[in-house]
Amino acid sequence: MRLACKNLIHDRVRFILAVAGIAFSTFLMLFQGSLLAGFLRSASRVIDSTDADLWVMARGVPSFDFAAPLPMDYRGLAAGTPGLRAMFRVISAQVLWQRPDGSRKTVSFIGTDPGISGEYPVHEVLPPHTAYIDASDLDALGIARVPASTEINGRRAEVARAVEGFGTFLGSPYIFARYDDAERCVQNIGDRYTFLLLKLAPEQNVRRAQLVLRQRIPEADVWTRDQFASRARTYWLLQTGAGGALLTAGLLGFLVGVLIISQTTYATTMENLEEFATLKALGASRFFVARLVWTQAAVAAVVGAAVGIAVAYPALELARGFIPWIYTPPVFPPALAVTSLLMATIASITAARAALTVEPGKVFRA
Amino acid sequence: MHNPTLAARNVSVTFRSGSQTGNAVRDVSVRFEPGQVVLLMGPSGSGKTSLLSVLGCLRTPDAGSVELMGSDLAGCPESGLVELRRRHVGYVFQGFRLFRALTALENVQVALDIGSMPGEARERASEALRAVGLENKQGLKPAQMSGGEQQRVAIARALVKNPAIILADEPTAALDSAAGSQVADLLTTAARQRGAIALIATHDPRLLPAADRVLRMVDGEIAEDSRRTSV
Repeated sequence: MRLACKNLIHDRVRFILAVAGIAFSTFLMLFQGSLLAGFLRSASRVIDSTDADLWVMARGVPSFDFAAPLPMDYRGLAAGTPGLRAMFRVISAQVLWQRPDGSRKTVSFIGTDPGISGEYPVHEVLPPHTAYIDASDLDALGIARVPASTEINGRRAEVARAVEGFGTFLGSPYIFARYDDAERCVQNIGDRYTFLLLKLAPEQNVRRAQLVLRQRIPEADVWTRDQFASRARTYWLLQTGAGGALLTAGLLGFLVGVLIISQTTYATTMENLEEFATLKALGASRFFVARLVWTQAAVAAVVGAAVGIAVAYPALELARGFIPWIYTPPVFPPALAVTSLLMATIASITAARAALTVEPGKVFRA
Repeated sequence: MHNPTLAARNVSVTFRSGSQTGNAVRDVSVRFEPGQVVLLMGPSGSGKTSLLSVLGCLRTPDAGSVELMGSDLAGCPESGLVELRRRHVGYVFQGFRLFRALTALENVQVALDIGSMPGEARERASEALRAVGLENKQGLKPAQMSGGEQQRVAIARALVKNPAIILADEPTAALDSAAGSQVADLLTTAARQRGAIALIATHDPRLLPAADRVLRMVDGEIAEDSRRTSV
């Protein structure tokens, strides 16, 4: 351990470069990972925020953001679902929002029956013509402060509250409102809502209820909340260019990290190959030599990861100003530290092979 | 320390260079006595270093056998060679082979750390440096020392384990006359005081007066084995 640390300090320029490389790759992985995590979280944010057990929707709807009106009112058919506690209609549609300066912006207008609980922002019965928006969308919607008056699809509305955590990458901010306001606003005809949410009794088997409902409404899709959330994330990740680009960037960040750590560890080992030969000549065991190589790699990886994470957090905070949906799960930093250590271990296996196979008799050559 | 034993019987070492092979050492048989300072002389390419490598457990012979402290190296696994090197052999190299990042004291101490040698490693390393006259240079790194001083650190490192066998490869080649003499004295004195076998491969005729025995190698064979009575 002492020799490993002394070697690192002695070659401090190389060590600093190694730490910088690993810090950069950790930063890259954390930033790209946060973009990807935020993207996936945002892709199913509205779905996840409800405590509904089952979602009924038009056939083939891939995500909440690409909703289509259900062909008919299914509330009567759904009423017999085993263990049903409550039903909520949801309308989701693109409408026009008018800013105070007269310019217009497309928004996703979401109207729901009252009573949806969980993290969904509208629990209570809203007064008529009232809307909630996400705090990160204030500027985009031209709102200086809340409350404020506005116009949605030509109808007056009062923005009563700014909520947190519902920023979207789509560019059309979510507007939360009463069901009947949304119905009027989108000029809904014949109660053609886009989702029907079912809340079941806690003891009810959700999968069984799903099967029953599917048999009763074969022309619609019935998903559990988690299934629909997963379906939405998969759709955005794999079937859209945006998700593919983020996934590719995330994977590239990881690969760059692996390569930098591997290259650094290998180069350091190769540079000290004669010292490893000397150690072997002096009677160092294979374990001693391998541990030395690993320790050098691990110290660089841990320091580099710590620096990378320390730099990434302010950068992420800064980025949150213009990418509100970016999200860093708490597990990311420790996972990245472990990943860096793991990458250093994998890299040191290759490097240690060189150190372990060096011929100790090499020391007899000047 | 047990009476050191080191012997080679019909040892051959083959070298490979590209598609060509040849014998670096040919059918060499030799036995060494405790407390003996033996010079291994001969022109470059005569097989001195190869013989030294085999006798020092750094490689196994391609034919014949080597007996070191009662162990036959033929068929000895790598772990066995490592153990023999660690316990019984001290090395001094032409290029010193000190660890650049470590101080003189740490360079000596590392030989004990490797072997998990019991006792006070730091004190023993310090004592070894004192024995080679470097008590005031313990905190210096190799780059801060002269060639002679570096070689003395290497000797301290070789002797700190109190080895039965000391192998030195051209220990004075990179040193000036005064430093070379000092290194030669240290090696031979240490070997005699400890009753160890000192085998020194060298071109340096200045070492001749200190030798008990001189082996001259030519083309991988011992061409001459002369024992000297006066030291």
